[in-house]
Amino acid sequence: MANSQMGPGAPITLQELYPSSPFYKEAVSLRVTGMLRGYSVETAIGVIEDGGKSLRINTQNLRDVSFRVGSIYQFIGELHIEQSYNEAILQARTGRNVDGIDMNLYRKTVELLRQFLKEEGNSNMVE
Amino acid sequence: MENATILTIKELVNKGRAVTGASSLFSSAASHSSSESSSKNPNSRPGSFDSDLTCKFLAPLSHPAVIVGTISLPSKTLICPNRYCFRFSDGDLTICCDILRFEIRAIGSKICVLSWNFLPMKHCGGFLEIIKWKFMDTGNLLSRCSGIGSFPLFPSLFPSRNGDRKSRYCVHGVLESISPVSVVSCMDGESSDSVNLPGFLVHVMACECKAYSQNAAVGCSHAFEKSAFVYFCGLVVTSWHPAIRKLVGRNVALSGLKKKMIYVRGDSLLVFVTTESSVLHPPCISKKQIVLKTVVDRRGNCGSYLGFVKGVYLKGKLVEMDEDVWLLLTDQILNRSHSIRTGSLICIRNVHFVNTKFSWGEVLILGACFKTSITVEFFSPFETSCLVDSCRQNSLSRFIESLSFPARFWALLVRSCLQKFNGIPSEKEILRSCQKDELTKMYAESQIPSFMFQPRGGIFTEFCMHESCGCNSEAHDCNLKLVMSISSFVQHYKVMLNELLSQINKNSSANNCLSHSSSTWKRDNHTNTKTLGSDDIGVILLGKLKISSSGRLQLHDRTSSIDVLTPDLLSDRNAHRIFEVSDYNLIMEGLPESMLHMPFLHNSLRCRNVVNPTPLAIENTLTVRFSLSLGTGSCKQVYGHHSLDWRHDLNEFKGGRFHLFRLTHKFPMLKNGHPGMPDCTSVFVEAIVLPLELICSVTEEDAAAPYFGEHDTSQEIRPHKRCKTNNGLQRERALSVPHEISCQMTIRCASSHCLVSAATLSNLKEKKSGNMLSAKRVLLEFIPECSNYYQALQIGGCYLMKHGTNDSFCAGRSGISNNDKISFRPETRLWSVEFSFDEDLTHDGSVDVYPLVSSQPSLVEKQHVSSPQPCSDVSLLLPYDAKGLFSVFLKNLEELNKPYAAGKNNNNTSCCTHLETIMQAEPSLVPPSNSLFPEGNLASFRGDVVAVDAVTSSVVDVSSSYCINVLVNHQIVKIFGPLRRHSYLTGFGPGASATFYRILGTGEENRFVLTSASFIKINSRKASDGRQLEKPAHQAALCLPKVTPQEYVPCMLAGPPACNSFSGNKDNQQIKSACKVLSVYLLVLQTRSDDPSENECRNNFDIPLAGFVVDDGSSVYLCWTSGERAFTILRLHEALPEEDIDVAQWTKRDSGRETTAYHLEQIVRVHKRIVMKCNGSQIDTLFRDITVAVTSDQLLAKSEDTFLKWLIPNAISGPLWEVARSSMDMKMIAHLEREQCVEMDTSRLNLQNVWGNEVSQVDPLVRAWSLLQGLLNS
Repeated sequence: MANSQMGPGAPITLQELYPSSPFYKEAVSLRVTGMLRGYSVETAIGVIEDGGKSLRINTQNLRDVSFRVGSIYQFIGELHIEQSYNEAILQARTGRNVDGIDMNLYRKTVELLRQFLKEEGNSNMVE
Repeated sequence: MENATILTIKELVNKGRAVTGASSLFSSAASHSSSESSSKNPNSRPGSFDSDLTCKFLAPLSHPAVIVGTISLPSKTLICPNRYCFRFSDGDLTICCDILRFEIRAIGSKICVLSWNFLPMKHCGGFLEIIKWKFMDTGNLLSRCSGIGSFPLFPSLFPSRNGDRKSRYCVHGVLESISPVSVVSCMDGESSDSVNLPGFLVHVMACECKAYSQNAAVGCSHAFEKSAFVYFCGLVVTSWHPAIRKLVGRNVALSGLKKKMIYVRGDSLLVFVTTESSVLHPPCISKKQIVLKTVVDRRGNCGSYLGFVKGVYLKGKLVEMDEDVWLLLTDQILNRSHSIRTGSLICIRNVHFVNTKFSWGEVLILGACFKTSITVEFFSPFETSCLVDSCRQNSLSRFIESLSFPARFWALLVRSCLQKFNGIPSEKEILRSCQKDELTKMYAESQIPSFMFQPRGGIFTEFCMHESCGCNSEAHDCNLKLVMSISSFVQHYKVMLNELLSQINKNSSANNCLSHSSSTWKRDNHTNTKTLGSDDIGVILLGKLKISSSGRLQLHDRTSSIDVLTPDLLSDRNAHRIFEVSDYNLIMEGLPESMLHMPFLHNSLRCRNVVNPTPLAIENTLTVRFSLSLGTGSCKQVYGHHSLDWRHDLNEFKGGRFHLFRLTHKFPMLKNGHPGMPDCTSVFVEAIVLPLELICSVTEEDAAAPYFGEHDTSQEIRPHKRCKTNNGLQRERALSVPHEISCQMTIRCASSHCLVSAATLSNLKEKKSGNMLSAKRVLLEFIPECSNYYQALQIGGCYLMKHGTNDSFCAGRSGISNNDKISFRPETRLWSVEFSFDEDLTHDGSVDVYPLVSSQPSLVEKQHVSSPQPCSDVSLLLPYDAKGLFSVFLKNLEELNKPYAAGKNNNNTSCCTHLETIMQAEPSLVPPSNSLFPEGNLASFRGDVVAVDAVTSSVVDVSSSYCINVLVNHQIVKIFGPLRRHSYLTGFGPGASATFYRILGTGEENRFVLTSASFIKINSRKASDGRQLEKPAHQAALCLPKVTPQEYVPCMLAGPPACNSFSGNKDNQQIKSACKVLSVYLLVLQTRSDDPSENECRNNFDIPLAGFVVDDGSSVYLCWTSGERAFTILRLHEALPEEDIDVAQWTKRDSGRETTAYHLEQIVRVHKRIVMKCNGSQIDTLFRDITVAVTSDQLLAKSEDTFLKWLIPNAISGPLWEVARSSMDMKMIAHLEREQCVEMDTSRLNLQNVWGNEVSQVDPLVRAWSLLQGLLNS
């Protein structure tokens, strides 16, 4: 965490995380949600999946989160891109179990939130 | 072969390393055309050796190597403990060896050993296992299968002595069995001296043809039907034993024998005896099949067994074959080959098959007798140690030989268990091996029933008359209990619990894949116990008792230790004594909830774990604490040699003077937990020092001749002295202590030695102030080194302390005065003492005999009958008239301010018919008291612990507080206190019978508080399987609620429900919002009708008024409602959550009807009207003070109370509700109060009062979608 200015975790869906995406940058703060597909206790690395896309999560800084494959989790953290493989991993700052979440509703809400923030930003610009 | 180097034995011995070698490596084995290239290659594991052993393979030599030398018969040049094994010599050195595919011709010939194992041995340098070999002289190979050849048993110095007419017999047949070598003392013909001649017997099923013709081919039409015995006699001939042993099961012929008639057990028997001209004609070698699995060939009780050796224990006496198959080689005379190693394939011929059912499981015992012979078929590829007969014949081995096979097996298990008592070097009293043998013998003798002893008839009888000499008859069932080491015992149950756990996990994951199994353990489960009785377990534990550093009494052996709870115990000072624990309950504490209702698996105990306790790698997910609760008199000492011990004991008494004191209280250990108090490492007890001292007059002679046994001691043997009271006693008794009381003293030593002697109790002289006139109360301080004593001392017990200038009571003070603090010195010895009075001398339960100090016999006590035998170190028999004096000192400490019996209260409560009784909820920590410190009378009593509840509260400070429900005289007494985890006593919990000393009465009936000076003693534990659920019987609850007859308000319940008055009130504006319940404020429950027939209908009760504290996200309201709406908010129509511990009993009772409403109805029907009120002044603290009031003559049971209170958290954990509310004014509130006859107390929380008109559940998802739609559309 060399970057002293840690931003808020922008909520995104995993589909939005492709190499050319604006979110696909080193040390960008993100909030990701998906079903836990696998978890290695030794490395503390879990893999979440949503909509056919998956992302590796480094959970070594997390305490008091019990991981169960098949449950849905939400993590906030910084993206780290391993140059050698060009593969992204989220260094999770925090995480929680969000079982019961309606992912469709969540995606729509994220869209709506972005839309709102954009309008808000635009109106601020006008002023 | 060509490249192979020739190794000398010296090289091997000097290296001293276990190695395996061969003439060729890898590929060449195949070209060697031998199909028998079996166990040589260290990397090829024998097929069926499904071993979980962690044996190391023998290290192979890196280069091909052979050994050249000669095989010879045993001779005196090399002394091997196993006596009769082959020798291998390369001219330079001779070592023991064993050989596969043996041929007689190999003896004396020069052979080349092509593949071999070498194992270093202490005794004779090493041991060579010859796997493959060939003759150096290749010409001999031709005759390999010819069968031709004859070998004179005597070295053929004199080629032909056939002239001897007597030695003309020959025997030709199948060699059935061979006996071990035994020594017969006989008269030499020439001199009159008797000489010890070794010899052995061979049993041959012979052909009856008169003469053995050398030309007749072996395998002709001979009929081998006649049983014949050949006795190989003499030193030289006996050396043939290993060679003949290799021939068992094969065809042989012996010529040049003479006939002899011998008399065995009165029967005559014809035996052929070898002579100097006897010749052995070996058989043809036929190729045998390679056997890689266990082969059992049984005929009757005897048979042969082929299998791999899995373990060799107890110097080869016990050999583990397959699972639960054990070979016993107990007879000392048996010849044990070095090559019987872990991993070798052995063939046991003529062995007894004894299927035995022990109380712990079934075992197949292979019992070796004199007919049994063992040959090694393949050598072990592992680096395991060789069998060396090092132990000599001792009393234990002789004892074991006299037992039947099952008893032998059992005795060996005991021996291996006692092995664990190997002395720690620092101990003075090291139990050496022979002592352990003695101990085993003594213990086994006391346990084994007489029918399991078996007379032995000697080698000739048992070999020649095998069938008739009783070698066949075996007892197959054996009720001997398994003796186990503690670690194996605990390990066994750990394994079992883990298996059970995995089974539960499997089941639960099948049922509900979402439930997270591990989270269930995380709860604090310390009260979940399960108890197993020793009868079900079938195991005896042997161990020494000690007090651990943590202050718990433990049974320990070298392997492990286990906490012990015992009702009474010799104040044992000697930590070296071994006790046998046979009657006990195993308590497993801290089991997961789900395990309590599961039947325990009955895993049979494996003997392997006894002889070879290997810690299995278990993933220890459970933190179960094991402890033993000993039954009365279950703890017997295993008698050993303690003569030194008791003599030492008695010497202490010789002419000694002793202080007498009685323990009146023990203060609990203060362990860094009491806030505001410095850490204190000492422990304190309160004692009363009697103004008497005991002067003992044991003399040297007395000490030299003590009596054995408890029962035939004292009075009969010794002329009973009528103990006289000093004349002064009569006069002074009323005022003070008499000067002198003579008495009779019985000293018990640990090994049941008893000594009766005269003694005198006399007035205690003090240095300056003369006689001490009255008893003094003192505080004894035990520094940590003395905490052993602290544990052993019992409240109410009397003790002797040797009086001297340097004892704790006398050192550095002129006299003892009240409230002195006296430090206990580590070197001081104490003896427990009991008093009995002259009039009644019998030891069987007479009233006058001790225990004076124990409480009156109550129902509680009768369940745990105390041992009738006295168990103090010293007992004093006093004249009867001293009883009055002593009763002052020995007054009962266990019944101080004891709660009243239930019967007395019955009258009171029945008077309160139709009163509204109010039951105070459990206060958080201490019942309210006006003063800063709790005040009240101290009480001490004994009772049965029914439940230990953590006082549930959401407030953090008090979560560590407990409430102990104790049944005393059929009534429940509640004892509150900060019973912390560290002070949690072994075995404490529901089912324990405990004595509570110096607990504080709160002024409220049957409520007490544990203070920092209170002490809890656990007397015993009941065996209980699972939790003890409190019955909601009214009897148990009789004394629970506090009756306050102040609020008798007659209720007029007629008229429409309250809600009706407001449903039509449309003036108020109605607001809908989603709300969450924060708490229940008030709840009124009542039956709808008094007609009992209508009460049978479902939900025939009503909630005329209920108040909830709700939060709609922006503000908090006090929301009042009634009827169905209250039902909804309380979630009464939902099923009871099953996991809820507190309501488990309700679901159990009516498994068919699961809703909360149903169960609530049961309570309401009994009590007619229930008003539950939360009295806290803050929203967060509302639960602190809950009152439940009922309108009936029935009192609320504890479980009913719990259930009612459970409604509150149940409502809080409900979902979001959409409530349509309207505001309430004071007029409405006053109207409601009048109608419902309750004080609504609406102003207490300073919240807005609203009336809930409609209540419906909010689906957050639906709500969210509709919100989203709304936003998208806008």
